[in-house]
Amino acid sequence: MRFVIIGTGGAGVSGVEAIREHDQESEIIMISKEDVPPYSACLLCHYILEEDERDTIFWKGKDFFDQMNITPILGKEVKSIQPENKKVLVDSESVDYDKLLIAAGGYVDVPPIKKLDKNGVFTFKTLSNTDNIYNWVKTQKIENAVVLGAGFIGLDAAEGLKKKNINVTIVEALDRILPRMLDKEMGNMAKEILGKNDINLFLENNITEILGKKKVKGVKLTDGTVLDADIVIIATGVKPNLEFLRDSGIRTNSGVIVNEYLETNVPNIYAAGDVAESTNISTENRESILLWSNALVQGTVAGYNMVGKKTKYEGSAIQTLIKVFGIPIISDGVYEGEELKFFEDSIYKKMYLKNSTINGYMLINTMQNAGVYHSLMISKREVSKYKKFILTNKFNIGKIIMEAALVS
Amino acid sequence: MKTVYVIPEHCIGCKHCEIACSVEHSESKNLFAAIFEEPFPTPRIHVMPSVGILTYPGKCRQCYPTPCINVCPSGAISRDKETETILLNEEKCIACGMCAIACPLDAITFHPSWKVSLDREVAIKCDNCQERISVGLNPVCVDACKTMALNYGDINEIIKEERKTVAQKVAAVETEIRPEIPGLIKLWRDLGFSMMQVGVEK
Repeated sequence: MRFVIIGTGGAGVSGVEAIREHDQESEIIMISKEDVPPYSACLLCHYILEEDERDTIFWKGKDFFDQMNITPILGKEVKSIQPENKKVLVDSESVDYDKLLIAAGGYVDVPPIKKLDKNGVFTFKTLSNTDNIYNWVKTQKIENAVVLGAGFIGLDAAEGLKKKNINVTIVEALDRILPRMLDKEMGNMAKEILGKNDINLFLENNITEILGKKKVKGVKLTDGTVLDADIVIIATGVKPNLEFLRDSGIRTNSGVIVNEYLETNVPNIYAAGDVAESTNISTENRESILLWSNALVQGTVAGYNMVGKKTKYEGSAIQTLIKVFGIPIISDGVYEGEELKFFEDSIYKKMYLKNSTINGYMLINTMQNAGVYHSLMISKREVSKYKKFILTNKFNIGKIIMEAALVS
Repeated sequence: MKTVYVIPEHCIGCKHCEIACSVEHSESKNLFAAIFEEPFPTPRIHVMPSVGILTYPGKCRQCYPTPCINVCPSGAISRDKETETILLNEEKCIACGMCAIACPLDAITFHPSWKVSLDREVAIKCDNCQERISVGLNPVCVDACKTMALNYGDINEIIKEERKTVAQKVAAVETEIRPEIPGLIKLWRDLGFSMMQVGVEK
C-alpha cells in the first residue's frame, strides 16, 4: 500500500500521524511546494519578530519525515491528478498512489491592484513569504509599512512590524477590523487596541495602485489618499488551492466536496484541511472554513479512514481567537437572536441566544468561560436560567457541574 | 487509565489542594521557600464558587476526545502514552490561548513558569503530578483533600464504586444502608441546598 499526501501543513501532518498510528509499514510520500520540513503557519507571526524564533515554527521537529518514515518530495508542485491511472503528476515526474490525501491548503487571494509587481510587496502566508519579509526589513531602511486587510493575517503582520518600530497603517475594505469575527460594535471596541498601539487604520478603503519605480515607495487608496510605504503586505484572505484539480474529475465547490468520511467523489481520494469544504456546525451550511483546529481534526479523520478505520467527521467549529498586542479577541457561532451584553472596564462581552441556547458570542480582553460557552453552544444546552449572569464573573463551569451532581 | 476523579459535592472550599498544587509545581517544592519565589507559584487546580455557598474544584480531567490537543498550533500539548495524562511542553508553548478557549472545563490558565522564563506567559495545566505518580504516590491534591472530593485511581474502578453507591441510594430505604453522615457535614450540605432553593446567586 502506498499513501500519497499532497501538502505538509496541519492537515497533512495530522493525517500522516493518524496513518502511522495504525500502519507503520506502508510507504508514505508527502509532496510540498516548499522545500522545508512541516511548519505551523500560525507561528509565522512569532518568527517575523525575531530570527532565533525560526526553528520553533517546525512544530513537529525538523526531522519529522525521518520520525514518521516518510519519503518527501519537496520544492515541487503538483500539476494534476489522474484518477484513472492512480497517478499524481509532480512537475515532470509521476507518482503512483493507492490512497491519496489532498491537503493542499490555500493561497492569498490578491485583489486587482495596479503595478503590483514591485520589490517590497509581499503576501504573508508561507514560510518563504515570511523569510522574504524578514530579509527585506533587515536589509532595507524601513520607516513606513502598509498592510492591506485587517483580518487574522493582517493584524499579525501589523503587530510584528510595529514591534520592529515601523509606522504601520492598515487598510481594510470593510467597515470594521476582523470583519469575519466581529460585528460593527465590537469591531469599534477592538479598534481601540490598535489606536492605543499607534497603528493607523483606513476603513472602507482599498489600495488601487502601488507607487514607486522598481521599489515600492507608497500606495494610493480608493479615496485618493497617498501613503508612504517601504513595505506593503497583502493579507486579503485565503482561498483553497483548487487550480490543479480542474481536469481531474474531483468535484469542487467553494472547496473540494467531501462526504462525512472526507472522501471525494473519486474512490481512494480524500481531502482535508483548508482545501476541503466542510459543514459549519453553527449554521449547518457547507462552506470552506479555513481554521487550523479544523484542519488538524480533518487530517486525523481522513488518515483513519485511509487505513480503513471508518471515522465520521462531525463538522467544523468556527471558534477563533487572535491576540492583538496581547489582548485576546474571541468569536464563535452566529450573531443572531436575543442579544446579551456585558461591558465593564475594558472587557467587552456579547452573546446571542436562540431558543434558550447559545447561538454565538464575542469576547474582547477576556478568555474566561470561552470554552464553557463553546461546549454549551455545540451541545445546544438550555441556558435560560443562567441568562441574568451568564456573562458576569459569577458564571463558571462549577455551577453547571455541581447542579448535575446535586440532581443525581 | 488512572486519574483524579472529582466528586464535586464533597468539596468544602478549603483550598488545601490549591496550596499543595502550587507548592508541588514550584521550584523549591517547599511551602516556606515557595512564597518567595519569582514567578509566584500558581495552582493547576482552581476552587471556584458554584451553586449557592458550595464550591467546585476545577481541574483538567484528561478527557477523551481532547480538544486542547486538536487546536494547539505549536504541538506543545500531547498525551503521554504510558499514563494517558495530557502533558504540556512549556518550551514549545507560545501562549496563543487556543487550548484555553477550547477547554470545556476552563482548566487552562496562563502564567510565567520557572521552567522556561520570567518574561513570558505559558499555558499552565494539571499534569497529574507526573513525578509523584512515577514513584507510586498519589497526585498531591488528592493527598491534600480531606473530604474525598478528589480521589485517585483507575477511572473505571472508581465509577463502578460510584454506581454501586447510587444504586444503593435508589434501591434501599435511605437510613438502612447508607452510613450516618456526621452532623456538621449534614448541616453544611443542607445549608447549600436551601441556599440553592432560595437562589442566593440571583
